[in-house]
Amino acid sequence: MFWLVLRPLRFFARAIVDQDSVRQLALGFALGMVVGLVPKGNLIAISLMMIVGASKVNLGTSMMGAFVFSWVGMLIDPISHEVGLWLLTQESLSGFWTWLYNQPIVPWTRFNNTVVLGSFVLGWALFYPVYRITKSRLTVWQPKLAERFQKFKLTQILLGAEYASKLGGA
Amino acid sequence: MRWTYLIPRLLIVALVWGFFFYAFDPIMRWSVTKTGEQMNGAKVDVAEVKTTFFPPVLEMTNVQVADRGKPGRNLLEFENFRVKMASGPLAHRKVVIEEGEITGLTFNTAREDSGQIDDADGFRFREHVQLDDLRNKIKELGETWLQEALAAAKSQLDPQQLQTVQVSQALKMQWTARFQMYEAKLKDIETRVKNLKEGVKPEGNTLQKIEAYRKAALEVQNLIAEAKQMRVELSGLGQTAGGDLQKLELAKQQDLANAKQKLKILQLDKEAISEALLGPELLATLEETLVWAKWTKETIGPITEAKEPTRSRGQDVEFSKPSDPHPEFLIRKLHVSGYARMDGEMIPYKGIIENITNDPKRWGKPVLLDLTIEGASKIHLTASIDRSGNVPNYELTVEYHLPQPTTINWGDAEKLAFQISSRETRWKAHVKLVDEQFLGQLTFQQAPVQIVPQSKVSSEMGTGMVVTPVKFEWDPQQELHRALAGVLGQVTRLDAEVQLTGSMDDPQWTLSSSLGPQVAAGVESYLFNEMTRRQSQLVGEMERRASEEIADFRGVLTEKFRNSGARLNGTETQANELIQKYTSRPLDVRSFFR
Repeated sequence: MFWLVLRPLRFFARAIVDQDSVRQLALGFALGMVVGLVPKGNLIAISLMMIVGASKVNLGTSMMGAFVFSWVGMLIDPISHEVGLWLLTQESLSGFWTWLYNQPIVPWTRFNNTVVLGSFVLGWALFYPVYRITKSRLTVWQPKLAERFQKFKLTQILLGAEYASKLGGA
Repeated sequence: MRWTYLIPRLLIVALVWGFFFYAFDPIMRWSVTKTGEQMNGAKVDVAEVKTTFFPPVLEMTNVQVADRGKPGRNLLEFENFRVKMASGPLAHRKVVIEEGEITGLTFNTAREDSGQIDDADGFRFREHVQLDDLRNKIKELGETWLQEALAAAKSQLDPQQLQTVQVSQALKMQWTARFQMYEAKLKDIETRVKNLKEGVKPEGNTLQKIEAYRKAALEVQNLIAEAKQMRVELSGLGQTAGGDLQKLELAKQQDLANAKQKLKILQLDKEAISEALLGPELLATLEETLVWAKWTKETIGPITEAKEPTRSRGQDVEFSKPSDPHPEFLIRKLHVSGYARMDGEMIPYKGIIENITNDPKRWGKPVLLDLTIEGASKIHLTASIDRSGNVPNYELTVEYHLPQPTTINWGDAEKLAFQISSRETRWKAHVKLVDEQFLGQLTFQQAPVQIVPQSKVSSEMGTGMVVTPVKFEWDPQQELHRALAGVLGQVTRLDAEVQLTGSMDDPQWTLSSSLGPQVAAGVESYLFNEMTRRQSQLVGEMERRASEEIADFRGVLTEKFRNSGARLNGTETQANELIQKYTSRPLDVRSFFR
């Protein structure tokens, strides 16, 4: 029972110190950014969270990204609103929006809200740049972070427990 | 097994499941409470909220909504509220409740705390309606119609109206003045005669004495001439008196002719009678109707108002199909039951409210309310609140049925009072409110009824129609009470129809009823018959009175003439004696030569 609780923490620590998961870390952070930007309480936010949960990205960095960009999202609401308003009021898209809105479940996404749609679009527009920047930075920082992390007693305990379990399994 | 992948995700799923299983209902409860307090401006207490997703059901228990205008009281409270949401509209983010139920709904109950939120604005729900203007008007009518009826009756046979009496009194005054004048003249003559009789004492020589006597004789002759003149004038007065007696005679004939004409039929104000007799009872009915109208407008109305959407980030752009009538929130039919406080008692009621929505303009249908309250009386209330236009329209129908005996006392025992007993009372009011303007109709019925006079005058009259000897001076008030007692005793049913206009704070009404015409016809007929009966007897009485007046007048004249004539005769006799005295004195010629 104790191992079941401990294991996710061990894997998180391992993800930080493991150089092979930089791509996953960056992807997680970028996806978390999208989740953070979009206002909560709608199906889009829930769907994004489910995508994050279902994909092979690092949940730790995605949560961190969501947390940071939730605050950033509130600050850039006016920009999101303008983007969303422009999109929703395009005559050429009016038919599409109307059709979409009248489909079942879709209204729960609140896509007809200017900030929701604008944040969603901005989030995906920023996804690749954020991924690339994050990946490049993590490539540089991750070894240093891993080195520092390894010095923490907690990390040693967690990693020790990981090795202990492997040995125990062997 | 990729546990590194699976376990965190399973953890999240467990957290989500745990949230919906354990935390969702308490959060819903908190949300309902906070939203309710924002909308109500006073505390909202919710004991429990239960939700299920399949099927989508929401249930709330023991909810109290405080009244922000009354600290310590609840606007409403209910035991249980259960609604099942339609899945189809829910998929389109529309909460449509086909049928819900709310039980134990009670209004204006006590609560343990004040229920107030400090920064809320206050408003008051008026439980009572003041109709002082109408009440005063009815009270005035109750007094004036009776006075007017009495005045009209009295004027028909008032002795002071007789020409004979009027002419006689005028002539008496004239003749009295005339004779007073002649009295004065006669007295003057008598005084001068007396003075002459006593006063002539000639002095000096013979010639002077002769002169004195001559002057005295002249004076006497003047007096005699004046007396004769007065006699002539008095004789002339006889002719004048004859003319005046003729006038009296003519006046008498005219009075008799008038008395024999058909008496003018009294015209009583039928509407005023209806309003005076039925007004107090109908006023109570109108007050109750207005209370229900205000309750519908001020309690149910705000529930059905279009609500401003909760403020959120950004702006929602509407893409609903025009053909889609569903608003975001709709309760098609809500069964309600609970208790209503009436006359200090908690009476059970039940009913249905339909078309409760946050967007009445989109839905396009009015909120319909159908409530039945069954206590000692049965009240059926149906209302329609139409907010699909720019101005809300309220339409309300209240039907009231009391299948029990009631007794009300009407009027003032000193003037006119009745006790109205009825076995059954029904009334129905239909009212429309547009903005503050008020238009409606009220029908009222009591049957069978028994009306018994209670006024002091009637108690002195005794029972039945007593034929008493007619007196010339009569008391119309007694006759009127007798007439009313007879007419109202035959009334077996009361009904009225009232047209209502004005505003809720100042309603105006026009009342029509069969009672007014029935009473008016009965009273007019009775008084007419009574006066006709009196007329034939009063003609003789009138003739006698007129003849008395004429005889009295004639007697006064005769006596005056006789007295005046006697005094004149006496005066003339004395004057002649004086003439004799002064003109027949022997003359002593020798006195010329001494």
